Amino acid sequence: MLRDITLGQYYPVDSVIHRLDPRVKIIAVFTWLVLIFFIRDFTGYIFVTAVLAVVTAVSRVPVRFMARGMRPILFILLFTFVINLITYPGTVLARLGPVTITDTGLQQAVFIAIRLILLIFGTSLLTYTTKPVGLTDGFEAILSPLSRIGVPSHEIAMMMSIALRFIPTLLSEADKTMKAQQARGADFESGGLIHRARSMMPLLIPLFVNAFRMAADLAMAMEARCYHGGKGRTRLHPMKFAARDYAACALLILFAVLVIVQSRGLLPIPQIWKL
Amino acid sequence: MNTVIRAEGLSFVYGWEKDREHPVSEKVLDQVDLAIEEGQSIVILGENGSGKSTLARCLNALLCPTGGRVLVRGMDTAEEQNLYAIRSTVGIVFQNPDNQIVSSIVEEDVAFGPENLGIPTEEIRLRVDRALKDVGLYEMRGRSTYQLSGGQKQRIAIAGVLAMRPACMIFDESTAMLDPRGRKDVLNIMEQLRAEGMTTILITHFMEEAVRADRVLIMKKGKIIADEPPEKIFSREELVREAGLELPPAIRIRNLLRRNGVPVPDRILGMEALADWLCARKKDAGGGSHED
Ligand SMILES: Nc1ncnc2c1ncn2[C@@H]1O[C@H](COP(=O)(O)OP(=O)(O)OP(=O)(O)O)[C@@H](O)[C@H]1O
Ligand SMILES: [Mg+2]
Repeated sequence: MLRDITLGQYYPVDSVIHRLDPRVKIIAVFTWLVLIFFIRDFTGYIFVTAVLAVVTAVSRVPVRFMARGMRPILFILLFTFVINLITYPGTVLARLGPVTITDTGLQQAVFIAIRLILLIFGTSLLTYTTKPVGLTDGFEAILSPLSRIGVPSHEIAMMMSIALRFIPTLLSEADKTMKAQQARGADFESGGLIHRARSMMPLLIPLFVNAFRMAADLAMAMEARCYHGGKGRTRLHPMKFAARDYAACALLILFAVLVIVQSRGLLPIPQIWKL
Repeated sequence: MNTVIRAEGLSFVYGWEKDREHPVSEKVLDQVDLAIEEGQSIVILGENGSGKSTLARCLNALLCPTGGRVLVRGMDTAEEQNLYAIRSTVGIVFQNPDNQIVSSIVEEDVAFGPENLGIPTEEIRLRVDRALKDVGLYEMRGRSTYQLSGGQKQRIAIAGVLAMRPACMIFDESTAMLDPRGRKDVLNIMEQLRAEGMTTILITHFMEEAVRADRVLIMKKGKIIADEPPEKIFSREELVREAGLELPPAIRIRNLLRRNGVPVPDRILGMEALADWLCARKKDAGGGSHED
């Protein structure tokens, strides 16, 4: 059950996107997150979706695999859709007892849903195409200018990479404890929410104790291998900007300019269904 | 011969730096004197809580002695500036294979030590490849560490230490959590390292792993109560029992035979050797009676 979460995993194929410098990809994703909120009409969404589709195709991550990753957030998606659908005033389109659906409500709901899907697809493309090591190295490099004002960029990156390393270990540990307790008659599936939450307690406590022991052991092992923070550290795979990274940056700037210009209505194309 | 590690009057108490009047533990190490020569293979035995792991951690400056001193190639472990030179000279492989792997990718994990030492990238690459070949996992270098078996993880941990190019490696019950196959793999790597001249210190509860060592140390309550070659140690049954240990089956049979007047020599330490010796003896005796 815990294993089939594909969201946030690395998808190991070789593509231009996979080979891009993690720093470029991280900055691209943040730009993407901001740009999505600039768009106020359907034409804009069609444009960015088309760009995302092209990038996804180039990345060679199967759409089916990405769609499977959306499953855990399907509920949130549906929930925000419905809430938006029924909470906006405007011209009433349909009425169901006290609940009314208005034209603005429908538009808001559709736009929010599209936005969420684009956000998640965009960010998950980063994790699908970048190894955890690359991600954390990239974050470290991007944050490193801030280390002068006291942001512990190396430490944050190290914590992230250790968290990523230990998630599968802790999950399988949880699985094991769960099975062991089920074998002794514990019941995690039936009963109300509170009952179920309470039945999780005997699962969480050993898990926590275990996690602390792991942390102590790991700290000792890291020290034994001469770990002393980021100072004077070299890398097996140092990050290097290649020609393709400069090209990607140029494309990113072009993309951002296009999205902003379009959202202002400065392009000679109609803005469909403008908010 | 060169002395790699020398401990002089080494004592250790947990929690001593915080509160000298009320430390957390009793004396875990008590006036230990020890000299380990280049290339020796040493096995440390002792019951739970006898201070083996604490000793190991004092030998590579993970713990600082609260009394006496430890010298690694002449460098005092109490001096801050020697820390990384000492830790890269004396490496440790710990017990739990899951809790000593730092990175999610095999080669990244092996590179962790050299990266910390600030070794140039090309040199790290060479060392990582060499270390992975030494433990026979070169083909797995791009794999995720999570998918490996316990034995493979432990071999990665060994490679991680080897990549620092140590002169001495300590294995603190590194085989205890492995299945027989993983255990054999790890022991074979140790044997191969030893043949290449590495000083090895093996801490174990499996007495039969002591058979091939140059020296066997037995610890009890923070003291080294015996330091002898295995064949000597195994003849001193009362000493072994007093330390809370149990002799391997072959040795017990050997000692029982001796008590019943069969003069089995000291060098017989394993089941096969014992069986061979007994058969040879029977043949001799049998041959003798036929001639009569
Ligand atoms: N971090 C610690 N704080 C306080 N006491 C400790 C600590 N670690 C170990 N001890 C105590 O020190 C003593 C020796 O422990 P040590 O781990 O060195 O023994 P060991 O010979 O390695 O045992 P084992 O065979 O169980 O690994 C034990 O009595 C233990 O309770
Ligand atoms: Mg121990």
